[in-house]
Amino acid sequence: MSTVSKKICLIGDFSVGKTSLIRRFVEGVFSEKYLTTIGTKISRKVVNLKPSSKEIDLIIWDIEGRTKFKSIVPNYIKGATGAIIVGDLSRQETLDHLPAHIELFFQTNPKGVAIVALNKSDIIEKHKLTKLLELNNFGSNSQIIKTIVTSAKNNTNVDRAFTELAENMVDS
Amino acid sequence: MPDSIDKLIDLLLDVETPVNPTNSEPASSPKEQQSLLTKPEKKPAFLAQKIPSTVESKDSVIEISHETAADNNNTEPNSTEPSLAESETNLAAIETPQPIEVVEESVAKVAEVVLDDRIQAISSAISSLKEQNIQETNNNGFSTDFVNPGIDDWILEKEARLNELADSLNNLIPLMMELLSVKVNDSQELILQTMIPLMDRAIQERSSQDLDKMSLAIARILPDAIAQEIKIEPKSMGKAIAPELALSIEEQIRLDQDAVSLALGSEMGKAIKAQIELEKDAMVDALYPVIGNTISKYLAEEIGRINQKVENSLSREGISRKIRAKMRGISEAELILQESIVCKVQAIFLIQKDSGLIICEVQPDKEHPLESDLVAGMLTAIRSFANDCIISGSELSEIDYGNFEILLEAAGYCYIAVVISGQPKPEFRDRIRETLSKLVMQYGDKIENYQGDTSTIPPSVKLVLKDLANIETDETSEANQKKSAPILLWLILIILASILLPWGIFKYHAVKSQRITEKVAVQLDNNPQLSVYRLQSQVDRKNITITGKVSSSHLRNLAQEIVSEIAQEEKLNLDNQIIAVDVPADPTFTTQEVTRVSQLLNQLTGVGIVSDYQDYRVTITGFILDTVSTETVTSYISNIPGVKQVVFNVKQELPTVDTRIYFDSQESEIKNSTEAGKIDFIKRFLEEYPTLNLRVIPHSDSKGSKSFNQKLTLERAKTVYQTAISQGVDPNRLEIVSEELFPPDVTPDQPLWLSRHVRFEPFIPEKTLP
Repeated sequence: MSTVSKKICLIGDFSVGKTSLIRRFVEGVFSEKYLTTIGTKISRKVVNLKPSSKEIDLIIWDIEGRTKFKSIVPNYIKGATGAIIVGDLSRQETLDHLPAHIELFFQTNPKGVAIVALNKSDIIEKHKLTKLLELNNFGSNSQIIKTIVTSAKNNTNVDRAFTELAENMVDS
Repeated sequence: MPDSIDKLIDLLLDVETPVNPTNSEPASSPKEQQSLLTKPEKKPAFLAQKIPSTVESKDSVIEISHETAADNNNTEPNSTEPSLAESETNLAAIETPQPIEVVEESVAKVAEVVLDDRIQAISSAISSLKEQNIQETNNNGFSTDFVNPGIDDWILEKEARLNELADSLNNLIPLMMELLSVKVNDSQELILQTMIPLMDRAIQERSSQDLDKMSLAIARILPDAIAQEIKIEPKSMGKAIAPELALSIEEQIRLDQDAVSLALGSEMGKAIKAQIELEKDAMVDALYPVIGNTISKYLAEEIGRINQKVENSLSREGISRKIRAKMRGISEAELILQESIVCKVQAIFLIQKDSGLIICEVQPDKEHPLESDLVAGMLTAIRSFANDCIISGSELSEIDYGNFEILLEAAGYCYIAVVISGQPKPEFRDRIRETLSKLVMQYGDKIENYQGDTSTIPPSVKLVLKDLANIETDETSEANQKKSAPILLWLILIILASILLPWGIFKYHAVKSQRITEKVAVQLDNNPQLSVYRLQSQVDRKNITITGKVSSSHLRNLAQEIVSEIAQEEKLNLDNQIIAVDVPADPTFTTQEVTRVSQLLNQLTGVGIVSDYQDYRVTITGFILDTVSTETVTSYISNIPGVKQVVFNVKQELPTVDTRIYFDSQESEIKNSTEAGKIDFIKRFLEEYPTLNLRVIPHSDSKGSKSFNQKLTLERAKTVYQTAISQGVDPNRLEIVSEELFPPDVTPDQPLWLSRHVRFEPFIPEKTLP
């Protein structure tokens, strides 16, 4: 069984927790320290897909977050099969920017698939979560596999987000 | 409450009276103090009077009056009236002993309570009392009505006095301060002694009361204090801090790691420098295990390579390096070093341009493989970044880091990244380009549609990349060896040829000239005239050179004739360098020569000569039977050095000998003395013609048988021969020849006796050289 390599990107505004999600997924750790990613950081993890026992080598591109002054370098997204588009549940504007990120990704990679991760669920009260999830649902787009609430700190749904994305990438 | 006030007021009032005058006078301006000095006659008396009273009443006040006196004492030397001042001093001297003790005591007390606090406490007590009093009066308004106006008046009165008291106290404070300071100045020791036992307690107590304030108070002086202490006695300070230093640094590191590094960092360089200056060896020792190993390992490798280079210094590579070094204007050693840092391909990646996924990779170094996915991703990101943000549309072609270099070469959907250690040759980039174009041409679509599944890429791609990796590494060693082998062979061949060919030609010529020389020598030697001379011949490619000396130009020409024949055969030019020297010939030599030549000539048939050499003239006598021989003899003899004239006294015909010795019939003995006398004639003939010999020819008559006659004639010849020898004739000069039995000149009709004889016939003998 040959290992297939796939490039995936994490896209979102700055400080929404992209790097934390990757660190949680790849290294299994979480740190409160905030470090801005400059340019891009690349990590790699081999994911074993259960039903087919297929192996997929995820090359994860942690892309510098979008700030007011700087848009994401589109070239970094090129050639990606999948993306996790991340928003910060505690900051509404980051959620407002999600459609723009999604559009950018599918423009660059029309055949790609994506998962929307609403991150930092640990600092949001439960009753608000369901409401926020309803408000930010991109289920209408067939290329968006699902919208999922995550927490890198509490390790909520992090592996699931990556694994489901990986599974859908192999299918596509 | 009024009671307590009363008590206090009373207490203070006792003090008040004596205080006032002192208060107004000494506390006044320095000018007034000066006036005090000018009028000492009144004041000392006053003061002296006051002191005892003050002592009794209140400690703090006593001090004042006493100190004023003391002050006056101090200023005494300046006084204009010494006598008065003296009396005053005396007074003071009498008075002081008692008060001083009291003063000390009081100072101790003051110190104990801390003067400031005490005064403050008093004033605050007073004011609080006042307030309380007023409040009380207000609150109990109804009662005041009752007691009014009596109490009112009382209060007013008390209040007035209280105010007075407060004023006086206020006035007192600065004075007390000054007094205290003067006292401290004056008798430091005493104060110290009194204060010391209390000091620690005071601090302790104060600390327990209000830690913050105490800390604050100490804090202000602490840095200065420490600085002072360090100045005064740095060692003890060091000792005091030392044990905790390590601990405190440890703690600080735990708290904030960066701060310590930051603080030390800037000084680290200087510190190391200083240490190196101070003790170089220690520093070297300390660093050796780290740097030493690294360097020695590196050097060992490098020196190995350099050795190899030096060993090859005489090879083709070495020579070409010398030339290259000259052309580039750097030393050969530098070039060697540059070349010894071997250029090695660490890894080759074929990467999809957009996704940064590895299409194919080759990593020859299996020990430390690079994390290819991450490297590829990062390179792609860097490329994208450079493309987007720095110069759009341009390509990143190489990344340098230390001794490593990443060469990048991009095509449509992919790019190739070669990680190289060392300095690659410029041609290597062309090779990368070739490889990439080959890959794109053959597998372009597969690369374009690459989805991260390496199984979709044919294995030949890897082979192409491996080829690229191999070429560079092997290029320096194997390729050169392959190239250099035939070249070396050729070189050897050329060298051999260049040595052997001339040698061969030389050898051939040498052999040839040797052969010719020998031939010439033989020919020259064969010539009887030239054989005595030492003539030498030299043969080079074009010429035969003959050198030597002969005694006449004739001999020179003779030699030339002989050699020129050989020269023509061998197609060479003749260079005749023989010198004809007209030497006055040695007569002995010439004589011998003439004799020798004559003997040689006598071997010719028909030549029987005797040469006589005298005074350069050769007289030749004898027989030369034909003219050709005469010429030969003439030329030979005349060419003998030293011979200038040849006199021929030769006969061309042999003489005839008519003498016949007759015998009786059938007898072989000489018959009588007449016949025997004819032998003498023979003897004389041979003496006359020394070059001639005689044949002894016997004959017989016709009587008797042939065999008998044959035997008889031989007997007769022998008889003559023996008789001649017995008479002294050289036997070699006689030769018995038996011819016809009958003599040719006697006819049968003549008498028989005529036929019975032995006749003689002269001949030139065949002579062998002696």
